[in-house]
Amino acid sequence: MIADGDRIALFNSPTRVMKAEKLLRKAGLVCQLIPAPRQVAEGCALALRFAATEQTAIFNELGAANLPPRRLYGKHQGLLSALELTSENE
Amino acid sequence: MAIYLDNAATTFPKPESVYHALDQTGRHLAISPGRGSYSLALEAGRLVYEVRETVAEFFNIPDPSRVVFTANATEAINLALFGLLRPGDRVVSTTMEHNAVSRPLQVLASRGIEIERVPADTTGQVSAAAIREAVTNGGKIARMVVLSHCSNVTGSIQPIEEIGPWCRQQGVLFMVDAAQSAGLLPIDVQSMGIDLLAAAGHKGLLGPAGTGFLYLVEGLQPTPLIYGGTGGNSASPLMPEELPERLECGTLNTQALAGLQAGIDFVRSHGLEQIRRHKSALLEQLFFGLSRLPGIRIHGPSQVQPQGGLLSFSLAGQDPSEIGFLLDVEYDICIRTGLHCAPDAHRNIGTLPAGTLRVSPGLFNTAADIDALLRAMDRILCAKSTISA
Ligand SMILES: Cc1ncc(COP(=O)(O)O)c(C=O)c1O
Repeated sequence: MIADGDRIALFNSPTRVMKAEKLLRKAGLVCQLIPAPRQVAEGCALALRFAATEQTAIFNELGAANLPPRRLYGKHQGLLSALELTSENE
Repeated sequence: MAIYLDNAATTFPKPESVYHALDQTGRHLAISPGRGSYSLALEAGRLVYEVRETVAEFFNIPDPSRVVFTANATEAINLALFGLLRPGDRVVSTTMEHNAVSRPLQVLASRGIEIERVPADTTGQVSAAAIREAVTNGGKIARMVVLSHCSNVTGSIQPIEEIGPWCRQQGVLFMVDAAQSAGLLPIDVQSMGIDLLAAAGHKGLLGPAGTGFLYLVEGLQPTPLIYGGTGGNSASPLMPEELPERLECGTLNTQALAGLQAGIDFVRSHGLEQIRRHKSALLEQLFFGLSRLPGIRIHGPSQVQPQGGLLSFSLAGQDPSEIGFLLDVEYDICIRTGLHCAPDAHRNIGTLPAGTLRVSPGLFNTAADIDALLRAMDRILCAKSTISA
């Protein structure tokens, strides 16, 4: 479900994540809604998955719409870890 | 086929596109939205989000997540009033309200909330000046003004575009019951200073029964009316802080919301002006037809003043319920008689306890329907006068 180099963004509510997905798709950015893995979210949250290479563009788009994610994770060598909420985490 | 003239209660029939949306969504996507993350659930979630966007665009609501879906206008009104008002608050309302507003206010009055009801004139019209005075009167500025945009008894249209911006200036919450006006009159929550907008989806917006919504301006955070599952954040023992989930728990009616979307699309494609022109033409025809009847009294604004999509009347010496009964059983014509769930409004216009006969044409009614009603009225009155003579 999540590959190395993927980013996982969590939002405050299911409606906000829907809003984010719609906005990004409209802007031609590639992303996908997935169930948030249990390491990062309690309960049954949805998360937005995208490639690390898209992060800058995606954060710019979300920032412009005042829709910042609540948390961000990256997968590296099979491990998910929390990242700072900036448009770049290289 | 029956002639249905009770569209103020709920619109019927709906546009074909609404039936199509109900059928297609029911067959292919009647899935719980925002629950589960399989593709169909996501698709249902996207559909519901789109309906939220459509509602937001239609009323110039800046953020779709401030649109909370409810089962009808009544639930939306209860959600706002019980969720926000606290003991010690003062609320200004009017004597023209539907029970959906006046009954919750009555309960709140017994919980230490002060209610002031501004009287309307005999045609059902409330003045903005009287509202302003009531807000600032009483030693303490009111916390909220709540009133219906358009009366379901007289069709009177209240000057919300005047009251709202003034309330905003004063820091008073402004709540509008748009049950009768949504889909008939233009409503712009931003320019009209509306903080809370409650509407039915099943009336002028042409959606199916079981739809309605409440809009809440940014910053308002009412306590929920009901508590339960919201999809995300399930591990928390508390309701989420975010809207709409905080106020929208339990399975949403995806199918009905798809119908609401089709209804609003229909309204948008025809335009409010054309819709209003159609209804006004039928009401005018009715007004002039009725004016010839002996003992007729038409309640509400005169034809020259703006009015909503209905006309209320009574006949001297006649029981409205009997006329309504005869129209139904002998002529297959459905109109509404009695108090229309708004006894305060009838007290205000002097039609208690019998109430009035109310005719509310829909988009699909024609001049022939109004002619049929007028002919039936003639015959009923003629027969009654022969019997009593
Ligand atoms: C002015 C007004 N407010 C509220 C309502 C209640 O609407 P609903 O039946 O959707 O709860 C109505 C419906 O008749 C109405 O006319």
